[in-house]
Amino acid sequence: MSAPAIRVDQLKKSYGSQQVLQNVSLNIPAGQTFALLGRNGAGKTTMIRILLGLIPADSGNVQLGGIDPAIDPLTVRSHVGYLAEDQAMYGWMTPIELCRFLAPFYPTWDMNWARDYLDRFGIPPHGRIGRLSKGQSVKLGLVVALSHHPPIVILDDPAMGLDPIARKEFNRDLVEHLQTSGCTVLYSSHLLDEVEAVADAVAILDHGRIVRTGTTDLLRDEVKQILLSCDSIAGTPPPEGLLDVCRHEDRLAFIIDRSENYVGQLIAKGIDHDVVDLSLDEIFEAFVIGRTQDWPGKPANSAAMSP
Amino acid sequence: MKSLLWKQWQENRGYLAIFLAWMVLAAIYSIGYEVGYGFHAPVGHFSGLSLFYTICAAVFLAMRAAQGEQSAGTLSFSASLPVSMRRIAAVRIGGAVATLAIPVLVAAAVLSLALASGFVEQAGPRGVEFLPRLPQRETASLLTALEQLASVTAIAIFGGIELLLVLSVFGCWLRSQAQVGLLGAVMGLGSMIASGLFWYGERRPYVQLVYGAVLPQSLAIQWSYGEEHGGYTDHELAQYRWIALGLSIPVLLIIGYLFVIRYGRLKDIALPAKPGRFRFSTPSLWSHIPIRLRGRWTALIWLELRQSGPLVTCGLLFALLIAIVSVLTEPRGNYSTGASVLAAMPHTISFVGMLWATVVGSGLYSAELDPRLGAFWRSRPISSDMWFWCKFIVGLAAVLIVLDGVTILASWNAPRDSPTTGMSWAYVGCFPVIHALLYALAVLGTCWLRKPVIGAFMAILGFAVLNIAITTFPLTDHLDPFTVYNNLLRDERAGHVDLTQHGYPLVYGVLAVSTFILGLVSSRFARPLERTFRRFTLLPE
Amino acid sequence: MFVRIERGVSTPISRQIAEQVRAQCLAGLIQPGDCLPSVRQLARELVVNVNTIVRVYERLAAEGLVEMRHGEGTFVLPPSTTTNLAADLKHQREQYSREYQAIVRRGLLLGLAVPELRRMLTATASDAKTQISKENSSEKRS
Repeated sequence: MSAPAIRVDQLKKSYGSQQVLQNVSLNIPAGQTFALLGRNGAGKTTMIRILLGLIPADSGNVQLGGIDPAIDPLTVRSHVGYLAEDQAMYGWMTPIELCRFLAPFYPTWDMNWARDYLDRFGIPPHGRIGRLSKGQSVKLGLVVALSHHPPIVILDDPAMGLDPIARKEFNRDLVEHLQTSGCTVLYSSHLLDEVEAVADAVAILDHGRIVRTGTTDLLRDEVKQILLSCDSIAGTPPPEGLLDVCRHEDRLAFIIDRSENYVGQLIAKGIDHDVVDLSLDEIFEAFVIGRTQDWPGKPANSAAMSP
Repeated sequence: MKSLLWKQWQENRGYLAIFLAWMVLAAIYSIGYEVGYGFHAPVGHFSGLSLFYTICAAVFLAMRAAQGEQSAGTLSFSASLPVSMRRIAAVRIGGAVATLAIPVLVAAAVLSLALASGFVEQAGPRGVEFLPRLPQRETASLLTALEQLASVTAIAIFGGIELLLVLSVFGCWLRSQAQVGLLGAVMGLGSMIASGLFWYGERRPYVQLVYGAVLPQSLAIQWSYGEEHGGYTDHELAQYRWIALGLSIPVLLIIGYLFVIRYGRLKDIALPAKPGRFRFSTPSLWSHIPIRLRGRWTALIWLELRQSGPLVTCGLLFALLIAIVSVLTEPRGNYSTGASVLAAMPHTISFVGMLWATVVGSGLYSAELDPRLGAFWRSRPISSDMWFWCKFIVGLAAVLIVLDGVTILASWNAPRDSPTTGMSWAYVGCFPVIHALLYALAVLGTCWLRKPVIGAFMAILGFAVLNIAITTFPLTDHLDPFTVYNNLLRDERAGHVDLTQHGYPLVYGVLAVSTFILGLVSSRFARPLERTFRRFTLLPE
Repeated sequence: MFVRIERGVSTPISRQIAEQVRAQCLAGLIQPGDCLPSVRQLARELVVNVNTIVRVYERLAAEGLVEMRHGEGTFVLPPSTTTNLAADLKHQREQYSREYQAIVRRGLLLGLAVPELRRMLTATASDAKTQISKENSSEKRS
C-alpha cells in the first residue's frame, strides 16, 4: 500500500481548559473515501481546520501528501480541495467571477472543467452568489473546491442543510467525480446511512478522542449485539471491547467490539446466545453513548443467599 | 411582563453602565475644562458633548432594538412566546429610550451640582444680537444657568430619542445591524446639518416652534469659537423651546407606536427569509466581461477594488449631496451654483471623509472576518499577510484617491473666500493623513472586535478621545491636528504657504507613522477562525 | 437491472446488492451473455461507494455467476452446474421457509407466547450450531 495521503499523529488541541482533541492519530491511504463521524462538538471541525493549517495545534504532527500544514499551509491548501461547513462566498460576485478570481491562485486550475460543472449543476454562471439557493451554493462550493483537480479533498459536513434530494445528488456527485478519479476524500457527516453507502472507512470521534477506525464492512463484521440469559454469564468479568449493556429482566443484550473472540468463548463454554447484526447507526450509538454499568456483577441468587 | 422587563434589563445594563460612564466623564470633562480655562461656558460645552453622545447612543440602541433579535437569531423564538410581539417591541424600545436618557440626566445632575455649588459659572444667555460675545457677557444667575442646562439636556434627550425611534422604524426593514449603523451615521450627520439649516433663532420664533416640535434637535444650536488658548462653545436656544418640546411628545409617541406595529409584524416575514426581498437586482455587467486575471496580486487587487470602489463612490456622492444642499440653502454669493458647490466640497469632504474612512475600513474587513466567509478565503492558498496588506493598501488608496484626490482636483480652482470654502495646500497636507488614520483605526477596531459597527465606532471614539486628551492641556493644545490645520490655513490665506510651520511635520508625521503601526497591529488580529478577544469571538464548533 | 437498497438496516449494503443481482440472474431476468452495468454506472445509480460495487462483482465472479472481462465489462455466464446448485439451494430454502411458518403457526395455536417461541428458537439454534461446528471440526480431523 502506498504512503498515507493524510497522516495525523498524536494531535492535541485545547481551548482554555476545554480539551478539544486528545491524542488523535489517523492514517488515510491514498484513494480512500474516509468519513469522520462524531456528535456536535466532538472536535471534527477543529481537526479539519488543523489539517488545513487554519488554526495551530498544541502538539502533534499532521501531514497531507507529505507536507506539514503548520509549516507550509499555502502549499497544502493549493493541493487540497476544501468545502467548509456552512461556508459563505462573496455574495456580490457571480460564480464565474469567483472562478476567475481563484484561478491565479492555483497553478492547476481548470477553467473549462469549472464552466462545465457549473453548467452541469445548473448554477447560473452570471447570477449573484448571494441569490443562490442553499443547495446551489454547496454545489458551487464543490465546484470551486475541485476545479484545480486536487489529489486530496476535505469536506466538512457538506450535506448539512441540504434537503434529501439534493443530498442524494450531492452524494452521487461525490461517488461519480471523486471516487472514480482516485481522490482521497475526508469528510465529516452526521448522516450515517449515507456514510455507510459512500465511505470506504470511518473513524468515530468522541469528546476529542478517536474511539474506533475501520472500514465500514469490517466494523459491521466485528461489532455485534449478543443476546443471552443473565444467569449464564453472571459473575464473569465484563469482556474486552464491551460497548453497551442493556438488561431486560433475565435477558441480557450487549454490544461488543471484536466480537468473534468472545463468541468463540461462549461456544466453547456451551452458553446459549444469539448474535445480531447491527446497522452503522447502532454501532455509532454504542460507541458514543453506550453504557456498560448494567453488566451483571454477581449471580442474583448468590447475593440473596450470602447474609 | 415582569420577566420581559427583567430580560431587557439584563440585555441593557452593560450598555447603560458604559453610557453612564461616558456621560459622567463628559460632565466632569466639561467642568474640568471650565475650571482650567474659565470661559464661563460649561453648559454650551456639555450641550455639544451630549449631542455627540445622543447621536452615537441612538445609533447603537436602534441597531439593537430593531435588528438585535434578527442577528442573534432569536426572533422566531420570541415570536413563538405566548406574548404579543407588540408588547415585546414596546419593552424593547422602552428599554432603549431609558438607556439613552438616563446617562444624560445623571450627567446633567452632576453639572447642576457644580453650578449650584458655585464651582463653575455660566455666562448669560445669548441675546437677539450676536454681540457681545460670550467672554464679554456677565455671569448668569444660578436659576438662569440651571434653566439653560435643563433646556439643553431636554433638547438633547428628545433629539436623541427621535433619532433612535426613526432609526428603529427604518431598521425593521433593513437586513443587518451594520446597515442600521450606516444609516444611523448618515442620519445623525444629516440631523446635525438639518438642525443647522432649520435654525432661525429669534428671527422667526413661531416657525422655530413648529420645526422644534418635529425636530427637537433644532431647538438648540452650538457655536464653537477658538481662542488663543483653547476654545469654547456658545449655545443658543429657541424662544418657545418648552412649548415645542411639549408638542414633540405626541410626535415621538406616534413614531414609537409605528415601531411597535412594525416590529409586531416582523414575525410574519422573519421565518421564510425571502432572498432579495428589498433588493433591486443590479445587472452583473462585470461578470460578462471576460477579464483574465494574471497573477495573484492582480486578482486580489481586482477583488478589493470591486469591494471598495462602490463604497467609496457612495461616500463621494453623499458628500456632494451635502455640499449641494448646504449651498442651496445658504445665501448665494457672487458665484454660480457649480462653483459654490466645488468651493464647499473641501470642507464637506473633510468631515464626511472622516466618517466614510471608518465606514470603508470596517466595511472592507468585517465581511471577510465573518467565520463563514473567513472559512472560505482562509482555506485558499492565499497568505494572510498578503491578503491583509493588499486589502489595507487598496482600501486606503481608494479612500484617498476617490474622496480626497477627486476633491482636490475638482475644487482646486474654486473660489477661496472664507476659511470653510475652497481648496488649500493645508487641506492637501492635513486631511488625507487624518482620513488615513481614521481608516486604520477602523480597521484595527474591526479586526480586533470582529464587529463592524462597534469597530468603526471605536475608531471615531478613539480619535475623539485623542483630540480631547491633546486639547485639555494648554501645553499641548497647539499640537491638536485641527489646530495645526487651522493655523496653516490662516497663514496660507494670508499669503505664505509653509508646511514646516506650526508643528506640522511632527504632528502629521506621528499620525502617518501611527497609521502604519495600526495597520501592523491589525494584521496580527486579522485571522478569522482564530480567537482575538474572548468575549467577541465564537467558540469552536 | 433493478436493484433497490434499504438503508439503515442491519444487512450490509454489499450483501443486499449481491443477493438481488444473484436472484435476478437465477430468475432469468438477466440473460446469460448480458452485460451488467459498469461499476461506475451502478455506483452512481445507487449512490454507493465504487469499491463496494467492485467487491460485489468480484464475489459474484467467484461464485461463477458472472465474468469480469478486463476492459469490456461484466457479463452474465450461462447457467453451469454451480448455478444449478444455487437454484436448487434457493428452492430448498423456500421450502424450508414454508415449513417454518407452519411450525410457528402451530405453536401459536397451541397457546405458546412469542417470547416462549423465541426462547425455544434460541435454544434450538445454539444447540444446532454447536452440533454443526462439532461435526465440521470432526470432519476436518478425519
